[in-house]
Amino acid sequence: MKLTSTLNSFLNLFYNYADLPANSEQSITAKRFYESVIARAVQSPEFRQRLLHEPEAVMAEIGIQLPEGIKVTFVENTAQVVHIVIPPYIGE
Amino acid sequence: MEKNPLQEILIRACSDKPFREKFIKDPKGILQSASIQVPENITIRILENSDDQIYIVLPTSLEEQPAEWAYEDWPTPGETFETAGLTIKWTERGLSLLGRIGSESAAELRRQLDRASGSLLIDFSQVTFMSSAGLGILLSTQKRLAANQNELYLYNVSAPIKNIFSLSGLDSVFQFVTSESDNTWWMAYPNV
Repeated sequence: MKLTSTLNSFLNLFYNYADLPANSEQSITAKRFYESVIARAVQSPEFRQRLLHEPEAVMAEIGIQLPEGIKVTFVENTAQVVHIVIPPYIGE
Repeated sequence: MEKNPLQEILIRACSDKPFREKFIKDPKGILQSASIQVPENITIRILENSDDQIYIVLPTSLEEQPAEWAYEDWPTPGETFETAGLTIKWTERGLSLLGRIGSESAAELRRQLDRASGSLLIDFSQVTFMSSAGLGILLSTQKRLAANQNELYLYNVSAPIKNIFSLSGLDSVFQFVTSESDNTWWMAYPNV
C-alpha cells in the first residue's frame, strides 16, 4: 500500500467520523473544521500563513475555543516533507 | 472497514514505548515494515502531541501541487467521445462517464484512459452498467498510475456498480470518493 493511500484513508476516517460531541455552541465538528480551516488553507496562501504564524488568533476568529493552556501549532506538508502526528504516550 | 496500517502504528505508538521511539527515530523503516511505501525523496517528520500541545498538519498547498495535477498533454476539458452506449467526457481532473461500460465500449475507454499521465478522478455517477471488461481496464489503469505515485479515484460509484468491485475482491484496490465529502475532498490529500 502506498503512503498516499494510507494517509488518505486515515484523513477520511478522521474528517468523516471523528465528529466531536455537539454539546456546546462552541463545539465544531471535524468535518466543519476541515472545511473551514484545512480546505481554506490549501486554497488561500494568506490564510495558510496566518495559521502557521498566528494560530490562536485565527482559531478565535473562526470560533474555535480551546481550554486555557492548550497550544495549537500548524505545520505544513510540502512536496518533500510529510508530517505525521502521534498522540501522547499513555503508558502500557 | 479495512484496517488502516498507519492507524495501527499510531495506536501502538501510544502504549509501546520502544516502538514509539523507533518510529520517531526511523519513521520510514516502520512505515515500510507495515508495507507502506514511502517515496525516496520524501522526508517524514514525526510530531508528538502532548497534554498541552496539539499539532495540526496542513496538506500541501495547491501551488505546490501542479506536478501531480497539471499536465501539458492533459486532454482539453470538455473533449467528448461517444461509443457503444458510453459517453466519455474529459474534465479538469479526469473524466466523467455516462452510460454502459461493456465489452463494446471498453476499447474506447481504454484508449482515453491511456492518455492520462497523472492522478485521475473518474466520475461514475452516471454509469448504469459495468462488465468485467471495464473492471480490467480500471485495474490496469490503476496499476499504471500507481507505478508513478499517481492515484485513481472513482467518484460517486452507485451501490450496484460498487458490488461488482466488491464481488471481485477489488474494492480495496480502488479509492472510492463520494459526493458527501463535497467537491473539496481532494484538497485534503497530501501530495506525496
